[in-house]
Amino acid sequence: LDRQTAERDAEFSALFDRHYGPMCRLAYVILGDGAMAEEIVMEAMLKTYTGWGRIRDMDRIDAYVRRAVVNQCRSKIRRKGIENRVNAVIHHRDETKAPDWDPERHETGRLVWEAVRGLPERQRACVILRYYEDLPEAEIAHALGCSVGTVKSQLSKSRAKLEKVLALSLRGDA
Amino acid sequence: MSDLEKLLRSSLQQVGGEFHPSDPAAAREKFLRTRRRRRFYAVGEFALAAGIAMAAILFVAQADVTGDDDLQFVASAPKVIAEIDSGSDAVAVAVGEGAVWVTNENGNGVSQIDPATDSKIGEVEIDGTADEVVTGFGAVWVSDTDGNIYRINPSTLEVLLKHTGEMLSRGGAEAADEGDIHLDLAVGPSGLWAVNPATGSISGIEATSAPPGSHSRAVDGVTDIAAGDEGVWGYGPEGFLARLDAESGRFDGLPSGDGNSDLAIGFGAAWISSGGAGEIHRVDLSNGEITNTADIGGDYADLTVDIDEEAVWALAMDRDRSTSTLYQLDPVSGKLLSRPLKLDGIAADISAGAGSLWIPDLDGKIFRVAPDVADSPSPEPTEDQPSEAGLGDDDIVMVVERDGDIFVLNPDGEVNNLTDSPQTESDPSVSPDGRWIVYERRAERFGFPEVVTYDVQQGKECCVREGSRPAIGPHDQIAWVMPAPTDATGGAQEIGFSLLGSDEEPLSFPAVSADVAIPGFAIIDLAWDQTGQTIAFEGGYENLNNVFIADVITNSAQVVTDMVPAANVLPDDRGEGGVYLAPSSSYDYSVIHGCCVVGDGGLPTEFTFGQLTYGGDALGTFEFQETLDLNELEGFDATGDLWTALLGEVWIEQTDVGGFSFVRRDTNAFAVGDGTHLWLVDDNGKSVEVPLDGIAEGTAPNPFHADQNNPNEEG
Repeated sequence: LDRQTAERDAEFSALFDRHYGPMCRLAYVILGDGAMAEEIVMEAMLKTYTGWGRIRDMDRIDAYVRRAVVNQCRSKIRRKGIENRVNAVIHHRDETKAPDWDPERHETGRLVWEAVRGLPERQRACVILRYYEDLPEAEIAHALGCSVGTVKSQLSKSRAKLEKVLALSLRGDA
Repeated sequence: MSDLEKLLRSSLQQVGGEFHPSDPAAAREKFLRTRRRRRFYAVGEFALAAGIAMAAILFVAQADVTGDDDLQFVASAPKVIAEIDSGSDAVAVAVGEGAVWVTNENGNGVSQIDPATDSKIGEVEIDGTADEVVTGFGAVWVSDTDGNIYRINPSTLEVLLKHTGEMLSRGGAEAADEGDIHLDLAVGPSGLWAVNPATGSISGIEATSAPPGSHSRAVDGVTDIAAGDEGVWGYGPEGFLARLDAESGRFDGLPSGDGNSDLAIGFGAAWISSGGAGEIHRVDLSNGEITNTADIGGDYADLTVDIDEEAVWALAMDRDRSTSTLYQLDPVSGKLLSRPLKLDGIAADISAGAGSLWIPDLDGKIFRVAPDVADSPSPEPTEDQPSEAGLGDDDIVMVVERDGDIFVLNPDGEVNNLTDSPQTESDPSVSPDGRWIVYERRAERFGFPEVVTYDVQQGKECCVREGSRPAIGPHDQIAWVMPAPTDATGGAQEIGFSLLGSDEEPLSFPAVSADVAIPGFAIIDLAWDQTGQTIAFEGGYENLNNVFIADVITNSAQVVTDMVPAANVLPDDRGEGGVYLAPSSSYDYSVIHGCCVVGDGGLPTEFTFGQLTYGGDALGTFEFQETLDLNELEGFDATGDLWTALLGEVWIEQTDVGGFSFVRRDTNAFAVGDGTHLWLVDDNGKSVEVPLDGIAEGTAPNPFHADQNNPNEEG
C-alpha cells in the first residue's frame, strides 16, 4: 500500500503542476473570482486524488480533471448566487497596471465576458469550453456529462443570445 | 469561424490571460498539507476503490439494519443540539474528568469544553501533533502523531508526563519512520493501553507510574483496542479478537478488517465495524460468536463505534468526506433504534458522556448530539377558523404556477395569487385533504431551491427545506429532491422525506450511491404510491432516463424501465414535450410521454400522449394513446413555449358559473400551455381554457376537491 501511495503521489504531483495554472484560469473565466477559482481547483484536485483508484482510463486523466473543475464551477454557480460577488470583483480589479493594458480592447473583452457570464450555467460552460479551452464538441459533452447533441443545441442557443446581447452592448459602448 | 466566434475566442483568452494564479509548486505544497490532514481517514480507500463498479447503481442503505420496523415515523431521533467551535480542526474527542476534551491537530493540543455552557474553557499545548484522546484515572491522555503519549492534569491543564513513542514503534521502526503514527488508546481497569496499528506494538501503562510497557502483552496484528466490561480487548484485521489484560481469551475466524474498522466493548459483546462493508458485527465475549450483524449498507471511509448506557452508536463517514451519518443500534438485536442523523462535517470519532454524544469535525466544530429527542407529531388539522388569508379545503380546484408565483383557482374560475413574492415559485401540488400546498421556491436567478409547505387553513407558509421537486404522498408525507453534495463528478442527489407540516429533521437517502459517480445524474420527478411506503422517481443523464421505484423503509430501489426517452425531446426551441412521472388518483404510478408532431414551418401542430402504468413488477408497454390537434385549442400560439403537465385521473367539468371543476375518474387529464394560454384537456377531448394571463407552467389539481365531486362516491 505504501509503495502504491508513493507512486500515486508522484504521478499526482506531476499532474498537479501541469494543470494547476490552466485549470485556475478556466475556473476564473467561468466564475470571475480568482480566489474562488483557486479554491475550486484545489477541491477538484482533492477529488481527483481521492478518486485516483476509480479512474479507469489514466490516459484521460486530463479530461477528468477538467470535468471535475467545470462541475465544481457549475455547482458553485448554482449554489452561491455568485453573480454579485463576481461583479464586485470585476469593478475592484486594477487591470490598468498590467503592462499590456489596452483600454479599448479590454472594454470589449469585458463586455463579451459579462455577456457570457449572463448565460445560464450550462450554456456558459459550453461557450467557455468551446471558445476558451478550444475543445471539440465531443470533449465538451464529456466534461459536462451530456450528449454531443445537447452541446450543439446549447452552443447554438448561446450564440443566438450573445449575438443579441452583444449587438446592444457593443453598439451602446461605441 | 464567424465574427462572433472570433470575438468570443479573443475576449475569453484575454480574460483568462489576465488572471495569474498562485505558483503551482506553492499550491501543491498547500494541497499536500491539506491532504495529510485528511489522509488518516483515507486508509484502505484505494485498495477498495478498484473494486467499485462505476456503472452499478446501488443504494447506500439497505434493509438489514432496519428489518421490518417502520422507521418512517419512529418516535425518537438523535438531534444536534449544539455546534461548538473548537478553534482548530477537531480530530478526536473524549468525555470525562469533568469536561469534554478535543484534540486539535493544527493547534497541537487539546481543547477543554465545558458541557454546561457548550464553550471552550481551556487549552493544553503538547510538543507534537495531537491525535487521539481518552480520559481515566484522574487524567487526560493524549497521543501525538510521533507516537508519544501525554498525561495531562484536567484541573491545572499541566502536562504531567510524556511517554515517548520509542516503545510503541518497536519492531516496526521502519514503518513508523515513514509517516504519522496514529495510536489507538483505551483506558482499562489497570491503566492506559495503546496500540500502534502500523506496527502492532501494544503497551499497557500503569495509571500511576511512569514506565510504560509493564502490562504489555505480545499479540501480533492488533490495530484497534477498546476497554469495557472489565477487560481490554484488541482486534486484528486478520479476523481475531484477543483479550490484552489477561492471558486467556482469543477468538479467531471473525470478519477480516479493511483498514476502516473500529472496536467498542459493551453489553457483553465486542462491536467490530467494517467501513468498507458498512457492517457492525456483535461478537459475544463469552464464546466469540457473532450474534448479529447490523448492515447499514454502503462503503464508508471510516466507521467508528462507541457505546453509551443504552445503545451502540456507529458514525459513518462518506467516501467523499463531506458528510457523516450517525446510527443508533439496539445493543441486543443490532437493529436500528432511531432515524439516522446526517451531519454536515468530516467526523471520524464519537464519545458518549454528559448525557450527549460528542462528535468532532475536521473543519473545526464539535457536534453535540442529544441521543433521544421525541418527534413532534404531525400537526392535526385545527378547529380554528381560517385566518383572513386562509382558504377552505374546497375553495381550491387547482394550483398553478404563473410568472414565478403560485396561483389558486376556485370552482368559479377565479384566480388568486397565493404567494405574491419577489422570489420564483414553481412546481405546486396539493395534499389529498386539500390542507397543504407545497411548491419550490428560488430566491434569485442562481439561488438554491427550497421546498415550501403552505398551510391552507392558516394561510401561511411553514417548514421551508432545502431542495426541489416536492411530491405529496397519500398519508400526509412529502418527498423532495435534496441537493447533491458538492462533488467533482456531480455527486448523487438525495431524496428527502418527512411529514407535511413537520419541521423535524427529514429522513433521506442517496438516489444513487455516492461512490458511484454518474456525471449529470439528476432526478426529474417524484411520485408516492398508495401505501405511502414507496416513491417512484425518474432519474438519468445524457437524455437517457429510467424510472426507479424506491422503498423508503428499506431504502432499496429497483429500476423498472429501460431508458425511457428523457424530457426535452423536441429538436428545436419549440417547447418542451417530454416525460412526466406522477401518481394517478389511486396513487398508481403513471408515466406520461407527450411529444409534439412538428408541422409546417417547424412549428408543432399536434401533441400525442402515451402512458405507462406501474403494476408492481414493471411498467407496462408504452404506447401513444391519444392525439390532440393543437389547432383545436382556440388561440393556440404555435410559436410559444409549448409545455404539458399531467393532472392525474380526473375529468374536467364545466360549472354553472362558467368556471370548471375536477371530477375523479379513471381517465387522465393533461394541461397544455403555449406560454400565454393554459388549457386543461381530458382524454375525452374536452378542453377548458384557464383564465390566466401570463406564462403559466406547473399545475396540479386539488385531490380533495376532485374527491368531493366524485360521482362514484355519490353513487
